Amino acid sequence: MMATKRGAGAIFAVALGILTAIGGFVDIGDLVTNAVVGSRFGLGLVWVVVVGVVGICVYASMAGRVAAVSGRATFEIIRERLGPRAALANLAGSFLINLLTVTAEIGGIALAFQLATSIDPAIWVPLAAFGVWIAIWRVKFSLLENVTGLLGLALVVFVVAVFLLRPDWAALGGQLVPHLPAGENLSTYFFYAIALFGAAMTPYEVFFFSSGAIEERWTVKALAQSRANVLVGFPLGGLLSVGIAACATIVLLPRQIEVTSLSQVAAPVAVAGGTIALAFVLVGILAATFGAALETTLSAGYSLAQFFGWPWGKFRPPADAARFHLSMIACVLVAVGILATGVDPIAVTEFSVVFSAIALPLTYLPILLVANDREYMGDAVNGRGMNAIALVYLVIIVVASVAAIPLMIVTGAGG
Amino acid sequence: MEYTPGGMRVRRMLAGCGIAVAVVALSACTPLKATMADAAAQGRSAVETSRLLLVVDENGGSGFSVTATAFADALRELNNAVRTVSEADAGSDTESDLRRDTLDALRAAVDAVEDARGTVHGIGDPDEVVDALEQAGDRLDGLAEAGGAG
Repeated sequence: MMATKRGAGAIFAVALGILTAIGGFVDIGDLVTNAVVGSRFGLGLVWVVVVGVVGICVYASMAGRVAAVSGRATFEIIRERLGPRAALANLAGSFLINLLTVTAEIGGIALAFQLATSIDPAIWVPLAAFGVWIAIWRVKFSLLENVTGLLGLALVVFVVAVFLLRPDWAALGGQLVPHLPAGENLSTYFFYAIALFGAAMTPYEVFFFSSGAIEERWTVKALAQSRANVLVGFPLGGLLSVGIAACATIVLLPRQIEVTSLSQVAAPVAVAGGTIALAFVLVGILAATFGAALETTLSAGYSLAQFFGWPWGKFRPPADAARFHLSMIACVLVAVGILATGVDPIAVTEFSVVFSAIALPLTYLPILLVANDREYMGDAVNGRGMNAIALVYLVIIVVASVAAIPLMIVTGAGG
Repeated sequence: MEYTPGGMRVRRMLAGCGIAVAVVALSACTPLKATMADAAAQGRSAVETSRLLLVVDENGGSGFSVTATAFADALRELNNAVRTVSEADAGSDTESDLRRDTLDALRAAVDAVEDARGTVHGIGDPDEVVDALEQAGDRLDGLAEAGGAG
C-alpha cells in the first residue's frame, strides 16, 4: 500500500514537473518573436526553434546535473573556476541582459493587463512590479513555479487554434522547408533566426534551473526526474512556440500584417475560437509573463549573490538573505524606471532576445567547463557523447553571438 | 615609422571602429523612397489589422478589451508612420510629391481606422467603413510595392 502511494506520488511529481516545464517554457520573448517571425517568414524558421530547444535541453540538463552532484549552483562555482576577473566580466554581461529581460517581462505583464482591461500599460507597470516583488518576498518557491507553470499551459490554445483555423495542411507543411519569402532578404532571415535562437535559449532559464535545483534540494536521486522535466517538458513547450508561429502564419502572413503589438499576437486566436479562446490566451500570456518575471528577477538575485558569496535562496527567510532580496528589489525598480521612460515593451523584448543571443557564450561556456571538471563532478563529468553535442552547440552559440550585432546594424534591427 | 605589436593592435581597432561607423552611417542614410515605402507598409499592416478586427467582431470574438487595445495599437502605428513621413526631408519635386502622396494615404487610413473603431461601438455604417479600409489598404499597398517594401 505504502509502495503504491509512493509510486503514485512519484508519478505525480514527474507529471507536475513536466507540466510546469511546458507551461513555463514560453515567455514574452517567445510570444513576440514567434509571432513576428510567423507573420513575416511563415514556418520557414521553425527549424531554429527545434535547434534552440535541443540546445536548451542539453545545457539545462547539464546545469541540473552540476547542481545535483556538487550541491552548488553552477554560477556559484564559476568564480572559483574562472577566477574573479573573468567571472566578473561574465557576471556583468549576463546580469545586464537579464535586467533587460526582467524589464521586458514586467512590460509584458502590463501589456497583458491592458488586453484584459484596455487601461494604459503605464498604469499597470508599477502594479505588475509590486506583484512580482510581493510574490518573490512571500510565496514559497515551489508554489511560484507550479502555479505560473500550470496556468501557462493555457497557451496550448495557440495549438488548438491552428486546428480550429482549418488551414490547408499541405501548404502549411510546405512552409516548414526553410525558404526566403518575397520581399525579405538573407540578412533579415538570419537576424530573426538569431532572435528566435536567443528566445529559445534565454540565459536566465539555466540560471534559474541551476539555482532552482538547490532551492528544491535536488540530489543525484532526483536527476531522473529533472531529466524528464527537461527532455519532455521543454520540447512540448517548444511546440507552443511553433503553435504561436503557425497561428501568425495562417492569419497574419496572407494579410501582410507585421506584428508590432501583443494584441496582434492574440488576434489569430480570437479569429479561431472567439471570446472563450481569448480568455485562455489572456490567462496564458499573463501566467507566462508573470512566471518569467519571477524567474528573471530571481535569476538576477541568484547571479549577484552567488558571485559575491552572499547568503541566497528562497528557502532562507528574507532577513537571512537580505542582500539577495535587496538586489532583486533594485532590479525590479530599475525595470520600472526603464519602462517609465515610455519605451515600448515590445521593442524592449525584441532587443532583449537579440542581446540574449549575444550573451549566450557567457552563460553556456562556463556550464560546459564545470560539467567537465572532476574536482566538482567526480565521476559524473560529461561523457564523450554529451561533450560532442555540447561542443557543436557551443560553436552555434558563438557564431550566433558574433553575427548578432552586425546583422542588427545591417537590417536596422530586422527592418 | 616603427611597427610595434601594440601599434598594430591600435591600428586594427581603429580600422574596425571606422568600418563600424561607416556601416552605421550608411544604414542611417536611407533614401527617401525607401522611408516612404516602409511607412506605407507600416500603415498597410495597421489597416489590415483593423480589417481583421472587424471580422473578429462580426464573429462575436471581440471579448475583453483585446479589440479596443488592437485598434489603439493600429492607430499608434499609423500615427508613428505619419510622423516619420512628415519629418522626412524631400530633396526634389518628385520626392516631395511622393511624400505628399504617402502622407495623404496615411491620413486617409487614420480616418478609416477611427471609423472602423466607431462601428465596433455601433457608430457609422459598417459597409462604408469596410470600403474605406479596403481603399486605404490598397493605396498604401501600391505605395509600399512601388517603393520596394512588398
